[in-house]
Amino acid sequence: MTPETQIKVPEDYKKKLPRDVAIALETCVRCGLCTESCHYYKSNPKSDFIPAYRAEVFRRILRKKDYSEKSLGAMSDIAFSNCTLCRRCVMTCPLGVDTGLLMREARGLAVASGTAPEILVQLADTAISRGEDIEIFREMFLENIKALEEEVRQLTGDPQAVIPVDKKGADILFVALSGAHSIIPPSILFHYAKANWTLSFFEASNYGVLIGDKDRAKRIVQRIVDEAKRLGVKEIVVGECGHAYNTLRWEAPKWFDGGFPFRVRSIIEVMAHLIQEGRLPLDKSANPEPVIYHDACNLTRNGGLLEEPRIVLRAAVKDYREMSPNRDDSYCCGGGGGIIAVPEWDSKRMEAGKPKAEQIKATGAKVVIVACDNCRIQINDLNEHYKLGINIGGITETVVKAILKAVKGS
Amino acid sequence: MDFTNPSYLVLIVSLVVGLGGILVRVAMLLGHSAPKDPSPPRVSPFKSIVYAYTIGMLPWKKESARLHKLVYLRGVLLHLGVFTSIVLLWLSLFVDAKSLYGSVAFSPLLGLGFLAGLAAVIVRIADKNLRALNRPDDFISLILVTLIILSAFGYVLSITSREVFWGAASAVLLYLPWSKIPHVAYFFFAKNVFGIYFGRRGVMPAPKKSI
Amino acid sequence: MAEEIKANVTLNLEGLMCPMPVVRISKAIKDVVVGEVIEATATDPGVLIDIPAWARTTGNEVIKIEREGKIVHFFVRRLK
Ligand code: SF4
Ligand code: SF4
Repeated sequence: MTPETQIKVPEDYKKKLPRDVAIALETCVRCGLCTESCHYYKSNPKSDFIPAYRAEVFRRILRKKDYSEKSLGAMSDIAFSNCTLCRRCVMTCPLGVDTGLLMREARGLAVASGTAPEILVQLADTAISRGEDIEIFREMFLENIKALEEEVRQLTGDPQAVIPVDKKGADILFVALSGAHSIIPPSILFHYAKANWTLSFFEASNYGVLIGDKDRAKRIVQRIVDEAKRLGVKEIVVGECGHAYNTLRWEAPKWFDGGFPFRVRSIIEVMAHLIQEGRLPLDKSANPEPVIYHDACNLTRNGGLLEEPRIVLRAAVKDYREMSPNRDDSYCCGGGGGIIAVPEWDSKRMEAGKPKAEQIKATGAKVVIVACDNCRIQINDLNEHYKLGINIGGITETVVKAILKAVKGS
Repeated sequence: MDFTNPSYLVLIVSLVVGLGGILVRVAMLLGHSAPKDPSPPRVSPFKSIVYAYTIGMLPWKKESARLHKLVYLRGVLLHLGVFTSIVLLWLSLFVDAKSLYGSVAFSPLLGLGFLAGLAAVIVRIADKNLRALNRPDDFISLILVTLIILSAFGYVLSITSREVFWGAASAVLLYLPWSKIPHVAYFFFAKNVFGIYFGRRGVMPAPKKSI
Repeated sequence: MAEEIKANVTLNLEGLMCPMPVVRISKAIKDVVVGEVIEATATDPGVLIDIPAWARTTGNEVIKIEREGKIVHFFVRRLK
């Protein structure tokens, strides 16, 4: 293929776009008011990093039907590496133009035309493959969970503590990520909350969403929906993953006729609820250092969890502080949208994470609580790159520390 | 209504083209599918749509307006100038504004609107970031609406004739279907989508702070 | 026995969280020729499933994968 090679894009591609995308395509007046809202521009004020500039590249391609390898490749690069789909710009646009949505659509076009980063597509396909033949992986999964269960028993000091899997009639299907840090603390939390729960066989993350490919995204969600239906759970609780929560709670119900027959909550909501009902024993002295919370874009601005994490942390730590700006106004850490999975863009994401690094530094906090694994990887890297000297922890892990201190004194 | 006046006839034709153009473009927008959203909302989106059109538009509520007070003011003045010109155009179809008592009262809004338009043209050329965003349409649309405000200004002050005003208005209307000016209609769709998106999630208006 | 498999490249993926082990392996596999083997250790237990699933997707071969305490030790051969 040469740069001039024309890629076949269906004639009615533009016509078939959903209405919210069409509105975002048509409404921008190029006033430039969204410029400073973007963390990319804030860390490197060049015109390419203006939100509307990125959207214009996509608009120009559709307007001129310029589907050459070169143009689509350039668009793909912008959509995947110059935008983390954080939607901070949407909040500042006087017309409410959704540039994040356009960039996701551009990603979808890049995938369809073969110009998307290969690794992101591979990660989506890996998740799908895991769902296609559960039996192949079942034994390994169970062996894995047995080992983690042992750790839970040691930490709680309760030889009866379990990590239930495949439990019919459970109230909660908990969908974690693959790491131990994503499974052990919630297991301890559910243990002390006496929850009737079961662990999902599948991981929460959804690279199908990140690559803007609805078909793949739906197939990844379908695995979890089928499992929830099979087990007859009342709700799905999503672990500490921003895009997974946004997907399962807000986006995916649109892909299934009539939505879901169960409720979807984040583990943060579950904890906030338990705390408000006084059902968790907590000793704040387990977390004595100054703590701040990073508002992951997919949990806060795009997820709606503005106050719940604060309710949780205020109950579990001694010295809670805020970054500024925060909540729905928070800056993206620079690691969203799947960019962390493309090593070629490491220096770009370090640069784009500068506003977040500066925000963290300004608070003087010793611990940053991050309730999204994507952001956690990024803030870990920012910590090293900008020599922030902070510790990074998960929100469930922080609560569990306070529970264990209250229950066991350690 | 003077059907013997050629500029009047041109204006009527232009009105049909311009307004028809907006309707066609809105119809095209509505032709796109809008799947139902069955996710249970945290908060009724109605509240946030209202918020999006009211408090949410106040300058201190948006970071962009806080950072760019002058741009925001310029935008407000330009749009006020355009809307005043539209009101005047409508009136002028029935009476000659010159004979209309008090029409001169429109002149401050029109004058400021014109200056805002002029400033916007200059900034679009001078500002590096806007240069990166500009399309030819941005200039054509802006210059045309600035001219309509100027001709309205001249008209109420009896400096230029009604025909000049109508001529400028016709130019805008004829160009309108191919321009970015239909954003005046898209605005409502975008604000609704915006209000519903953040409203359902309970992000806007912001919930009561827990701390 | 792990020692019997001859690796051409060895990677330490310990401490990396998902999806980074898969990302690193996916990158490393491009740097070896078809038939060569990568040996790696990781601490993210999700690797036990993710690496075989990735290999299935990309048409490569997991020769061996096992848990050794908190470490997952595996060998992947490039087939394509
Ligand atoms: S996206 Fe909004 S703020 Fe940005 S240039 Fe377009 S209209 Fe202006
Ligand atoms: S969505 Fe976020 S990263 Fe993308 S253009 Fe807007 S502010 Fe920048």
